[in-house]
Amino acid sequence: MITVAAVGDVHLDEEMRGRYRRRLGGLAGDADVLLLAGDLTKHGTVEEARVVAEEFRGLPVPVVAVLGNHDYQSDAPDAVAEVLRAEGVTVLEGEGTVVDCPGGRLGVAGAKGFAMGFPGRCASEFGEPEMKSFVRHSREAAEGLRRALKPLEADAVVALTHYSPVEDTLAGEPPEIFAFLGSYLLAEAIDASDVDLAVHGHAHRGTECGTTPGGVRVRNVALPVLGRPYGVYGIG
Amino acid sequence: MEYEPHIRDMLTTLKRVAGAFKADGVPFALTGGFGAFARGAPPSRHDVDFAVLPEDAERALEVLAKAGLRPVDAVEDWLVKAHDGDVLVDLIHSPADSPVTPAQLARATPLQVDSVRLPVMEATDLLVMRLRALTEHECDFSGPLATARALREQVDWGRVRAEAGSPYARAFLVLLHQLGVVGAEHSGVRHEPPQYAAGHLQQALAEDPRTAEQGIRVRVAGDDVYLSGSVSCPRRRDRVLEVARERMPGRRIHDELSVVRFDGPVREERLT
Repeated sequence: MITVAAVGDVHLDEEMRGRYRRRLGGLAGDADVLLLAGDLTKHGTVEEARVVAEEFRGLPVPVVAVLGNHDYQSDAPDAVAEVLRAEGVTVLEGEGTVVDCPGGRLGVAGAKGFAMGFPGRCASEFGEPEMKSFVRHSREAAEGLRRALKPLEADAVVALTHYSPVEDTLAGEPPEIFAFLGSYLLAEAIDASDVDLAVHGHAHRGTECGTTPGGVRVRNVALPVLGRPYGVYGIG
Repeated sequence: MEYEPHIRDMLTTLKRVAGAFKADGVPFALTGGFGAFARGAPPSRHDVDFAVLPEDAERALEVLAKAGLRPVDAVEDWLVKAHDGDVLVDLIHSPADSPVTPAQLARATPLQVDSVRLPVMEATDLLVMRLRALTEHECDFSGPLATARALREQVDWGRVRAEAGSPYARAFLVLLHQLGVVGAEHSGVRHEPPQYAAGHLQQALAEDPRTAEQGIRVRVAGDDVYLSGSVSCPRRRDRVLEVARERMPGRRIHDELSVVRFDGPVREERLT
């Protein structure tokens, strides 16, 4: 059994400093690893990234993260990732990592993902260059996840994204904005590999539980959805 | 045209003052109620008002004394006064702390008043001057209202709105809108459909660095704005409200926001 703790959308900045960390006291007993599903910062500044790094520094379990759209807001996602990595957080974008846990090896494939929509109500690479680049970014993001999943050799595999791979976990959000909350290409990538769990954030008003068309469990771990410091999922 | 005796006396005074100023080269313009009269409003029953430059005020008073008027001590520091018999002449130079400028006098247009031609303050300047004079203690709208009705087509309402910014002036513009004297676009009254207002605020809440909140729902109904959704901490809630108040001045902001709680008990879900 491998136990995964996961949370997204903590949106930390100076005024949130310490608020989240004081909820992490029980982490060692709860889980083997902590996954962060993006939107770690409010505006994606280096200063906010430092708050995040300090909030998650020196925890008793490894921390693996992807960035979210807020972490891109200041056009410095690489700098944000660098600050987190300096404090020992593994930041993934289109790549995977394997964490040795007492119950076995956990593979984590991470990508931010992107919007675009779901079958039948989905944007396509057509028309204006802005539209094409929007959809192209979504395709590349999903391709990154697929690329990250492929070579993972582990006893259990988790797909970690910020945007949602499915509509199930968006229930509660206005349906009109579903297309901005995720992309079915992420689910397709997940279903193309042997994945045990997919976690994402981004949809604050969504619901926790869903599945991909291929039957992989999807969990929306956005902090407002959870109402608790993190979700804990036992695999195997 | 036949006027009642009081008006006739005032017109006589007006001509006498204008003649004296012209003879002595004092720059001036007719303003106030008679300025409006010259531009088509009903005749004023009050004082005869002229605008002069602040630096010319004393000389202007001397010119009037020479012409037979009787200077009066004014307690106000923004005008000087003289009597012509029963008729009071105000020489206004610094109304509401905004000195009369050479540009204002240059904008004045020569118009025929009774039997003389004299510079009459431009309609917009004239109304702005009247609106600037409104204060806590002098906020009777009936005079400016008669002027506004009569001069509505001569007035640059955009400039009035920009230059007369006091709460009294703004309230007056709302009154003009309610009475149908001016359109909503000139009154400062919102004419944006509520859907657009809601859309703009929702985008502002995401784009304003103070908030950067993407998940706030905005509903606008008349003057009421309802904000719902969750934010991460109480200070962020305050800032959402701050941005909303800034963007929606004059509307009531209703706080239906909630602060995210994450103090629920941790429980493990076994995926089998």
